[in-house]
Amino acid sequence: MTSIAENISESYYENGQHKFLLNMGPQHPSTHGVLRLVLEMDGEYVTKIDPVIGYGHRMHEKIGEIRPAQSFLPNTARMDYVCALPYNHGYVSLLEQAAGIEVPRRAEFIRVITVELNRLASHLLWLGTFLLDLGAFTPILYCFDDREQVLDLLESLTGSRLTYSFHRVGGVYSDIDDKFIEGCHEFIKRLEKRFITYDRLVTGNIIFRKRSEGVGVLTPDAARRFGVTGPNMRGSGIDYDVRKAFPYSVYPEIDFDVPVGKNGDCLDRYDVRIEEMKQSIRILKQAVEMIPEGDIKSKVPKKLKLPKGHTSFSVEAARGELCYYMVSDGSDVPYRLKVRVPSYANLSSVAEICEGMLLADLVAVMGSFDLVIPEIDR
Amino acid sequence: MDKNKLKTEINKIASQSHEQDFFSGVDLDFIVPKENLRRFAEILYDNYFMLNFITAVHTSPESVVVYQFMYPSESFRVRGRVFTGTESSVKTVSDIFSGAHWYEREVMEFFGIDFEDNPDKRTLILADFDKDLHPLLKKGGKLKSAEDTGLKEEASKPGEEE
Repeated sequence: MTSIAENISESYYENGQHKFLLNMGPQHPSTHGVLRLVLEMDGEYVTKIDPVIGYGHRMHEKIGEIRPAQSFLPNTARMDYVCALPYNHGYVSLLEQAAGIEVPRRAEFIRVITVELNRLASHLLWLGTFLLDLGAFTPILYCFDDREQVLDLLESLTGSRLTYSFHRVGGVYSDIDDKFIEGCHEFIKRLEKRFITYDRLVTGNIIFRKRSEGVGVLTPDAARRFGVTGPNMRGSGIDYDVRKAFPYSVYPEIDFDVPVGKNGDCLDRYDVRIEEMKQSIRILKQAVEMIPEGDIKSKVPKKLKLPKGHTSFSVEAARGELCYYMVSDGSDVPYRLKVRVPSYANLSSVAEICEGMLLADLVAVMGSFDLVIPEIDR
Repeated sequence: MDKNKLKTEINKIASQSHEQDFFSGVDLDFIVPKENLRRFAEILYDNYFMLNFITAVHTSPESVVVYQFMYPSESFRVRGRVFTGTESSVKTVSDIFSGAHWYEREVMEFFGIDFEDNPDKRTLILADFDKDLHPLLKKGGKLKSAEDTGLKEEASKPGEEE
């Protein structure tokens, strides 16, 4: 499939099969962003997939290399805009690790609270859109209603609703107050009731089960070879969560489980994400209780001194492991900044696991993978 | 996984990097000779490691390709650095780790580093007509040597080297 563009809509015979190329995207609603898939079809079955990416490419890595390290912070939120706060968290933690800056405990707790709220918002968006891909229109209305509550809460604290740049090197931008904590409690209470609704509405639904059970199986071996991380990998039974495996921030003090699936199909990925939302609530409940009094930001020089050498820092974003890798030459501008985004590896595995399946099932798998395309393009 | 066994096994084909004055983010950090890259990847694959990412850093006179791996069920990460040499090419590892395929295509278009035997050398993120753009290469005074960025140990006094 070298000259894909010219062959589109031409059909040909191969080994007695009538094959043709089909273009899906970049404006197809179920690709969730500007992703184009060139599919080689045999009737209704997909025989080969070639993802074409790069439509939303903005070269964030280059921008990170031409200006002082701290001014790259707003850019981190523009990669995965659905779950932007882990990106903030990872980047400031990287700089703190390199420059040797201590963070007050209160600030760490505020970081964890905001990140988990953002993770809930991201998973709620996924739940709505995944089920919409499968043909269920109602759940998205419920999910957006819940997500709205999270965004309102975060807006009251950070001032923005989508592309946050709230975490700062050495702390956070603003302190939380009693009103915010009260809002958290109210939201938790509300969402716990909603989980029962979602369960009754979706989990036992016969159409949903038929469309997701046994579809798009990601084997543990394939997950390892492709470097798939996050809920997609945990759905295949590997319990890898950066929050547990490489503990950072105050996660080691908080009690939570890492849910894993068994078969690695769409249903398992659904179960893992639903369970992960419940675990996020568990983390939130504890963090809100444990938060100590104190400063929210330590003293940081205006011009950061990044020592010579290279370093990396990983955090668990909503879609998997997010890793920043920085090479520094001793100035305050990074010499090289690499962002390892989770969806990149996740999408590269789709071509293998979707071979030979129905076109309608491909849509289900893409939905269950929870891809954010601008994050892949960077 | 036996960490010490793995360490001695890799030490046979690669040299361990010197410690820097801040945490590098990985447990083991190696400088891998170009010809031993595939053996390095195979050892890690056999020990059930996962590929974290592949990237490159443009330094003079030769660029560096960085490979980072992680071990999922224990907290363990390994990083390897390969100097590309003046011809700017290294062997592919995409047949060992399937995920390396996309990372190699990305490095190919961003840095102009060739990955020998990679079956698919089309551009991934950039458009076809930007094939020779290589946007992440440093220009003019921005380009530093590998010693300046701490990726290569500074040469010790003459006579002390082996």
